[in-house]
Amino acid sequence: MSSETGFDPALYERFPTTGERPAGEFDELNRIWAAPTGIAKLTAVNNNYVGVWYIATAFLFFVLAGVLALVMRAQLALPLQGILPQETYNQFFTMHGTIMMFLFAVPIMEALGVLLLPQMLAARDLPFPRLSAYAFWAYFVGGLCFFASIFFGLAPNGGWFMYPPLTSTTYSPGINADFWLLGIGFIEISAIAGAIEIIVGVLRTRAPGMSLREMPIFAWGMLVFAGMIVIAFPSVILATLLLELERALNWPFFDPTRGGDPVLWQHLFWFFGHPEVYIIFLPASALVSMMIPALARTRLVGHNLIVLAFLATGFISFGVWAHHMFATGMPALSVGFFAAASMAVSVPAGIQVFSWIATFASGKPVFNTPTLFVLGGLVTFVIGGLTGVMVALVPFDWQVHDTHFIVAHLHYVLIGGAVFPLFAVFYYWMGMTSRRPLSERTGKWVFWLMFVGMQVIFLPMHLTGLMGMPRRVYTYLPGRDWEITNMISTIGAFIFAAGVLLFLIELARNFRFTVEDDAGNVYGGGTLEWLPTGLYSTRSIPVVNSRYPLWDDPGICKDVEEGRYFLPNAPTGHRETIITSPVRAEPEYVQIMPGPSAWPLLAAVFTAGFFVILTIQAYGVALFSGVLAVLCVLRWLWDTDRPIAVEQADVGAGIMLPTYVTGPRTHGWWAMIVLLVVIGMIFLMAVFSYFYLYGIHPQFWMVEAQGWWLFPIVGLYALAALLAWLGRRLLAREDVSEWTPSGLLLWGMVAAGAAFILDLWSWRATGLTGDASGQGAIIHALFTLQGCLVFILALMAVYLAARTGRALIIKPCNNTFDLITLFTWYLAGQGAASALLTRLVPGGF
Amino acid sequence: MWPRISTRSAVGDALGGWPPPVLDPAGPYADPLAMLSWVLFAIAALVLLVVVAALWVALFGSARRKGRLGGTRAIWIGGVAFPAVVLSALLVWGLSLTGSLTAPIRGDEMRVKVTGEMWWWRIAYLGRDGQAVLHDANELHIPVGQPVVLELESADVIHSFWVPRLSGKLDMIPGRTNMMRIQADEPGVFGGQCAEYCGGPHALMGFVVVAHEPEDFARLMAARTAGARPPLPAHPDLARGAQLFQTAGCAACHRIAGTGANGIAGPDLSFLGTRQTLGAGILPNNRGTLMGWIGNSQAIKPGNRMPPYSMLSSDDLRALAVYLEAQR
Amino acid sequence: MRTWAYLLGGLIVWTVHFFAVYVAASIFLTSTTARVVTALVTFVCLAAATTLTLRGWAGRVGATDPERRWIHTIAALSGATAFLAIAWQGLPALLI
Repeated sequence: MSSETGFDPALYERFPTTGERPAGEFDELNRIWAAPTGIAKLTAVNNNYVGVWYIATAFLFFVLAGVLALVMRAQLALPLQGILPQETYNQFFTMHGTIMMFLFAVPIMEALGVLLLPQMLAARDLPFPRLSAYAFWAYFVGGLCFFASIFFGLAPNGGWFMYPPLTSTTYSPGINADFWLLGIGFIEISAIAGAIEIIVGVLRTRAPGMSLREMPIFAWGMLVFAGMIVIAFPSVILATLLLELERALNWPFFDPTRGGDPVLWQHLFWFFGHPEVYIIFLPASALVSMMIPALARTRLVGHNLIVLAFLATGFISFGVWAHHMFATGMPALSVGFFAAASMAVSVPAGIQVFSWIATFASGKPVFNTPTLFVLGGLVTFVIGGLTGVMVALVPFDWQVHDTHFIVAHLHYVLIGGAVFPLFAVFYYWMGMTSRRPLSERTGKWVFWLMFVGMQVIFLPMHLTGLMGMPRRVYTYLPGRDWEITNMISTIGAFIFAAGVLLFLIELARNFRFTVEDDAGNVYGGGTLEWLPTGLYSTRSIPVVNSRYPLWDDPGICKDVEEGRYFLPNAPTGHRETIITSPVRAEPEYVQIMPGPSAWPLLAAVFTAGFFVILTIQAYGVALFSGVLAVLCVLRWLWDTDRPIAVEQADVGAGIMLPTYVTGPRTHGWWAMIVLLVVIGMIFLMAVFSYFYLYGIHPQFWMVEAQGWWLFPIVGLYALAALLAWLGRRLLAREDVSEWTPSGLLLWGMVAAGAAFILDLWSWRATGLTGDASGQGAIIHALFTLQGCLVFILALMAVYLAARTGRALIIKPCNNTFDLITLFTWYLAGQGAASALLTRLVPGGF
Repeated sequence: MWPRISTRSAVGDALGGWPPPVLDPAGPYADPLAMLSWVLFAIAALVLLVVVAALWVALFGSARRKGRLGGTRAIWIGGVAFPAVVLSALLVWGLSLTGSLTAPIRGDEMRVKVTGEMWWWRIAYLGRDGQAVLHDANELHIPVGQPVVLELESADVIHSFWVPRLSGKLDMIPGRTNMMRIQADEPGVFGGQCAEYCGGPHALMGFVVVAHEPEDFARLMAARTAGARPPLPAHPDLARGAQLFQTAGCAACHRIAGTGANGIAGPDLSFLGTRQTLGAGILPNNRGTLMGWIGNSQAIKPGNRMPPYSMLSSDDLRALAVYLEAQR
Repeated sequence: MRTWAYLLGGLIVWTVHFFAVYVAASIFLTSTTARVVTALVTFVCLAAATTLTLRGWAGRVGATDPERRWIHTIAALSGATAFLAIAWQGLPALLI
């Protein structure tokens, strides 16, 4: 057997260990992992708490957005009704779509990741528990404020994809659109934070021996999900930034009279928007692939094919964005490419569906509530997939695009692909967090009401669309035969709502939150999340060499609980988990994890506050809130990255692992790389916009900055990178003073800042302004992006200086120093690329 | 082939409903789309049947049948090979159709420029030199049996031009001109509407396309472009209506050819009397609806750009309606 | 890194192909040039996907270590998927 890290796999043979564990060890574990009590419980960061709060909040938004839908269906039951006035209706459908996509679907998948992943991977927690808490609280506070806008008539009304120019100041002068643009801002931050957490968690905190081959399918789904967020969300981050800049500063990105183009928004939005559908579908599908084996009492058939299907979806779904734009008049050849990719992306979906069928066939399915929801979801999703293939065919799409046919299609996909699976999940995993399982008898009622309701709403709606009814209409005229199908749909909506209501009642009756004495493995699953757990997760971390450890090793639960595997105790006296290698999951080091803290909570509240207050244009207060948010983040970071006294810890069976590691092997380094990929993608989308605007309206690109400025600018950026590199090298040397490495890095930062100012100044000297033309706007947008990075770098400089002053930058190597160096390198690279781009295209020397 | 089950007004009949206009094509740019739709529905039904049957066997089948389904071979056949074949065939058809329906525009085809406005349609018939020879609004006249090229533009936000019985839809995007063809094979009235959400009363932004026999169409165009207006019929309210049109403010936004009313913000009313609909495809055109519209269009189509004229008496409104009805 | 590049090789080839033909069609619109570029890129990428598939399959047969064997399997599958997707992606050049 070969090894990835030099770890000898033969050491696994030592487990399970024999002999008694020392007394008191277990109480120590409990003490270390205990959550605060009383009001301080809000500062808890354990995934068992944060995960459940997160799911509950997301579910709340599902119910709220569902209520909006119900009112809309009531309005459309008959022609020319006055239940909802036009403007309110327009706000309702915008909010329904926005909340369902941004505040329900994506967050609930991340929430399930937070709750389930550590357990499935047998990690003590995700690698950045405070980051999870931050992501949750920012979402919670910001989301509720965002929703509240509807009570003041200030909710956005441009549709959930917010096409300009309808959403630009000319046609949407109110702050409604700003609520959307800024409201989505903190959701983006929250989603990115969650994605980083999940990627590093899945790749680096798996139980020893759990190689990629044996990783549970949910971990695969979440890995691809998080990877897709990292690639897709930057596009919408940039889009919202550009539109907000256009609204606030009159920079004409989307205004064709000054060299912008409204279709640019559509490209940016859908480059995020279509992958978004798979971002929602993949985790749900992965959960289905986790549940079916337990429900059918067999192993998943086609495990490898499903892994491939996830990976293929992750790639190909980035080649389908323009199929939302078939009616915009793109070149026929381009349209053809997107049609072909849209076909290709349905093959992985077919693989998954037939894997599930084959798994059912190879087992003995039990018809309980989760099974019903899984089956109902499967059939519903297949119908949605079939209409999806239809609309992938361009000529058919020209007819049904933007009609109720599409409304029916997307609800089939999302309800079949995500909502029904989620309800199966609620039933299946309820035993993990509740003292009592949910009732099977009511469960079946819930299912049939929701399933029948779903079909009654959306099956006739296809016909409504073919009969010519566009989407997003607040009413329709009598005498068009649209009454019958609309009335049926409305009746279905109330049936569906009755199912959800029954579920809420059921929750009130049987859901009793607990961490310790939960109802447990009601449905007989074979994966690690059903190991006996407490707040510390599992008592010890097992060696995994099977996809269904609980089925293949009947003794595992007992051995784990008796502490016969890795980390049966807390050798360092802190919260800790084992960091393992990405492919073969060989133990690398012990990660010291942070405990409860109020700082992430406060940072989140102020972050959300910053965005929400910015919307109502109280700029001073917003800025104040933003400053507080930054201070809270810095305070939270201040405690981190401290080596501890125990340099090597015995993680069980005499295996010693280091407790402080630096460099590319660390989880912090990985997280930084993922973050830089996000920032890099934002920049890449800005570069795309740059070329796009130039390609559409070259006549507006009149201004040229002098080329020779490139020498000092690129030179200074190169100097910055070099000084950072040199500083990091010198940190390893004993014979230099404490301040030499940090000083070099700080001088590097100064050089980077100077390069940025020089670049900006030389462009301003040409007289080009942001509101002058598409060229001016996009160049200033690039400066805005770079300016944000420079601002962060300045914060890092202060932080580095403070830590150096307190002798916290320890030799010979230090994570804080490493990460700041990485950021400086990236910033220098982006800055130089940006300076080169704006001067060489289209101008040239 | 369609059962005629409805009892609707002529306007409603034109604007959508049963039979589904998408499946009831009336010209060569919609025919293949309807055909494609039917084939797609059939394939979808077939695939759904296969999946449900497989699921049925998986859940309730005999052990032998379940055994044959319960392995990776089933995935390769059902999830890979089957879709690959079906989708390949569909893709080839779909792409060929895309190519043929977007054939390059030739110079000798009849052209009309249609501009989407919040929330109505400005129409300009173009001459051979590309210049507008006739202005109109919310109602497009075409000859049957020949393709008509539409130059689609927008004056404000994005709209989408859609006459389901004649063609698929195409967006009208500020700063761009999108070209599409429509053609009707028989005379008739075909409903259309804005398909891209354009704010406010987007729901109430319709129009009609009227197809005439070529000779009728030629006669219509000749009469309308001749310059001389047909004589107005004798009616006691006519003069008062004409005067009110100038003094009440109508002329500031609306144009009536040959009268000095030259407003361009709102729809051209030169031929209002002949229109099938009012308010951009939402009301039948008669004296009552016309009076109601002028008096308070905000109650009918909230948010539209025409202010309510509540200061006008019902006599005033009738006079204006009589005057406008006479514009033919 | 090399493991991941190999594992995802086919899909990376698909990505390169997709964006290459997209850029070609964006610059040259619906023209003969765009069609020729598409066809050429398609042939090259199909060849690459085939190579990856065959290599993965051969590796799968030869591997003794279960992890390596698994990685070869996924690599072969990803190459095969990419082959189908790239072939479809090339069709518009022939049909539109």
